[in-house]
Amino acid sequence: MGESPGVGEFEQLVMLGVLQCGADAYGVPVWRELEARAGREASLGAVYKTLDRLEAKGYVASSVGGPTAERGGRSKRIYRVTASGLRVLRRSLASIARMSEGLRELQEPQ
Amino acid sequence: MTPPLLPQRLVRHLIDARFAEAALGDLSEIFDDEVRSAPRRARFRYWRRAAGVCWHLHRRRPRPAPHSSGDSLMLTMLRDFVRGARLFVSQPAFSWAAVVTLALAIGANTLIFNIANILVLKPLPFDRPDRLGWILGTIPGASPDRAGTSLPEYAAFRDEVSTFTQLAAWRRQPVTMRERDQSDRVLAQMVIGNLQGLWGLKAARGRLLSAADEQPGSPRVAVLAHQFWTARFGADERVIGRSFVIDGVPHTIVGVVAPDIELGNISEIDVWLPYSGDPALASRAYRGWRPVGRLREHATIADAHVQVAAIVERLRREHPDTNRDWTARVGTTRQALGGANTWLVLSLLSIVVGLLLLLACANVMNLLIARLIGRRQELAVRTALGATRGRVVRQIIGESLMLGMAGGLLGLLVAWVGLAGVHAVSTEPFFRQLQMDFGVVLFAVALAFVTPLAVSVIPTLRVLRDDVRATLSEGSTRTVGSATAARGRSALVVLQVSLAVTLLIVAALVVQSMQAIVVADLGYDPSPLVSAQIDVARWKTEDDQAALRLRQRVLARVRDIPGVEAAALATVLPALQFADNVPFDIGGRSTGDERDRPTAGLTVVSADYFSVIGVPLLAGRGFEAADASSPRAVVVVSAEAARRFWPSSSEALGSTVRIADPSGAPIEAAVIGVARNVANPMITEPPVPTLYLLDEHRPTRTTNVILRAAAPASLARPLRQAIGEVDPDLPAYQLRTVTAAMEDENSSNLLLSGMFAAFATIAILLAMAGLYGVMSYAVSQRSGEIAVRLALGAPTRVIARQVIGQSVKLSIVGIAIGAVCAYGLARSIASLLFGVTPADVVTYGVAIALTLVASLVATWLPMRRAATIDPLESLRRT
Repeated sequence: MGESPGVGEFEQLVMLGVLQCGADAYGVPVWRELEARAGREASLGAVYKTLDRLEAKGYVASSVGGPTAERGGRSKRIYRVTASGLRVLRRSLASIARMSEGLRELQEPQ
Repeated sequence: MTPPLLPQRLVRHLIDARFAEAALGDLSEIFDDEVRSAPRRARFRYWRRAAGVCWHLHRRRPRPAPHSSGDSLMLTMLRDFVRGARLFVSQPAFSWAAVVTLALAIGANTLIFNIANILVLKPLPFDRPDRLGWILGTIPGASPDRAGTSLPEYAAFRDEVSTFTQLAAWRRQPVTMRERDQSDRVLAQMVIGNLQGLWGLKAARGRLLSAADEQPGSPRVAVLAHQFWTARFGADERVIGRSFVIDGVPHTIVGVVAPDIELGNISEIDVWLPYSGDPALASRAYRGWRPVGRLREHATIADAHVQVAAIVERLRREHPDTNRDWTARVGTTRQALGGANTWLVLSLLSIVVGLLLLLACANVMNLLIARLIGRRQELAVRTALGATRGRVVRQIIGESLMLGMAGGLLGLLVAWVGLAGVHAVSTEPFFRQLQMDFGVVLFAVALAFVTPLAVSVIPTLRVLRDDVRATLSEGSTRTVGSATAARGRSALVVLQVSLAVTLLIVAALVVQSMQAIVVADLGYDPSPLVSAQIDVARWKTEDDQAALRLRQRVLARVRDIPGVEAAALATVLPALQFADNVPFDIGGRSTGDERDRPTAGLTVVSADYFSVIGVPLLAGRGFEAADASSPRAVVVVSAEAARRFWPSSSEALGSTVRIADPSGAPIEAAVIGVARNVANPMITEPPVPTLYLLDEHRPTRTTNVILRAAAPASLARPLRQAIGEVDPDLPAYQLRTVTAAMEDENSSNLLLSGMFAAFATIAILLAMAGLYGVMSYAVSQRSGEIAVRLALGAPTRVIARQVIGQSVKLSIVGIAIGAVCAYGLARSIASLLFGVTPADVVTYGVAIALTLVASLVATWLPMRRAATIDPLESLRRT
């Protein structure tokens, strides 16, 4: 097979969100991270959709957690970023970093 | 507090099972968080979020086997619907084209349904209206069924028609209603017999009128209409028992009618009065009464009609002077409420909007087919992966339903805007009662469902016919232009062109007729005139001479109003009101056979009438002051009367006529002049032969004060004031410029011609859009072929000529069919046409040319696009 498919901007953000949440990365916290850190008011549905797509690409994997007392007794679907996901993410972030290196236009105004 | 149940169910059923559990958990977690701060908002957000989750994650995979599905049909449909909505958003140009097309057609149909609803479908506010028989009189020269009945005729019907268990009659009359020093001009419904009981009205307060109230010597009573009671007295209970002076006679209010009659002009009644016994209303010549009877059990309208017709025939023999021309029939309630033309116009409007809907369906169907062909690959793949055909068909229908509902919603808006336009144009009570009620909305919703189902039939059939493997192996849309598909497209082009031509021609004929009526020559210029009606009632004075002096005082006073150039009196407004028809004899010519006796409209005027109105004398002279003071009556006849009853105008001059005056002794008068005709109030009819007499020679009671002025509109208030100064008990009513009165008369014509013009415009736009769609699709199918030919060196001109020629051929077939249909339709509505024949060459020519140009443009645009594409590019794409 050729090289693994790339990821879009929102996909990057969602993967980063999953990483930020650590062991408790399910729908709600990931969605909250997006808003808190990236300032993105995404819809919950869009987050699921993206996670589903990433899972299909093999960049995240999910497992069903045990039922909890809160949440109406419903179980969580917990995500983690896979090794190939990390690789792709690293690569695309690095390429962004390299591309923006030394660009005065991108520096924060003093 | 728990999250709302319905969105939970939706999420569970609509989205992929892998996600449902976790998504529901997440939703409820967020909900729990938010509900503490703002419970209502949390619920709303739950809904929104759940919808978003369904939108993004709805199940797309076909189910492995049909039987494993536990889903109800409802849920499957809901899923199709969501998919339809997604498709809608993803192809905005297609969706808007389809939705706007549907909306225009649904809107137009809803508007017309609204009219039909009131005329045909709405339950009538009478008790068992199908058992009512309405005696409708007709006299020549006036609208059929619109003439009334005289009291002696009514009495004959009441006593002799055994098929009626009850007969009652009514007449309308403006009356002056006074309490202390406050007086109002109100509309009274004067009844004879138990009309309120016969109609099935109920009393809201007090009691209704009964037949006993009209007995001589019984106390004078009146009953208020509910709307008047609320509007004038603020629904004050204490008004019952109070006494009002109505036309000079004290009446006690004994009740209020329950508010269940909101039908046409019945809703205009202010007060109900029993017949007062006034002998003037009981003469054979006074035909102001409208009888209605309740049929005996098992008797039919036809039975009643047979008896009524026999009595009409007998009265004609017994009273030839008054009954020679009068006929009557028994009509149904609907017939009594709507004129003959109303039905014709309504059916025509229904046909027109029906064709419009057909046109819209053809367009949308074409769009659907084109899109479906574009998606053949997708559909074939789905079928190959195990989606049943039924499932695919349901999906197509779901998508169409989505379009239909959007179209229906927008269509309601279109109808609503149209209705606002109708209300803005027409002052007629009939049009004012049009409204968006439940039935009308239901109709629009039904159309929104039925139309998409209808338009998805053919595309669905195509899907069912499609061979999956063939489509897959084709791998492209190159060979779609099969012979059947091309035939289908041609048929669609012909259908659209013919519908557009039909609509265009019929609408143009109707619009021309209505415009012709509006601008028809009246025989005089109404623009500098303002008029008011006054009525020197008998309760004021029995003396005709006193009444005459009062009118002359009014005339003298209004002449002094600043700005008034001249003033006159006339019993009818020319070309607006019908004059009483009177029989007369000419000179020595004996009456002989009653059937040969001439009749003419009698208009009683003041001496300078002709100069004030601006009607020229064609022969002889007009009235002079000396005529008024002379006891010898003189008469001016209209040109139509002179033409009809005398060998020539000069022979008319100098001859004498003997006019049988129903309200007094015959009047002998010398003919002194011939005046130019004024138009018949029913403008489509020839002018009425008219005799003009001076006010001094023929006693009258009700007359019009007509002023000529440079700025007539500004005179309404001073005119009312001046009349009030002469006599405070003489209220002026129907005070308006004559132009405004004309516009009132014409408002329905203007309205209808506006509707037809709008429908015709929509039709031609829809047809153009449809043609453009069909042709651009056809051209795009052939773009490969065109590219090859261009590459091989064929000149663009030749290719263009061929493609356009093909479309022109189809258009001509469509135009021919459409013109024939239009002619058939126009023939059936010939009685509506005025100033234009059903086969008017210019109309047909213009409509045909317009359609041809439209179809050329619709072909040329896609053609040009295909021809300008680089052949290589075009070939690569196909």
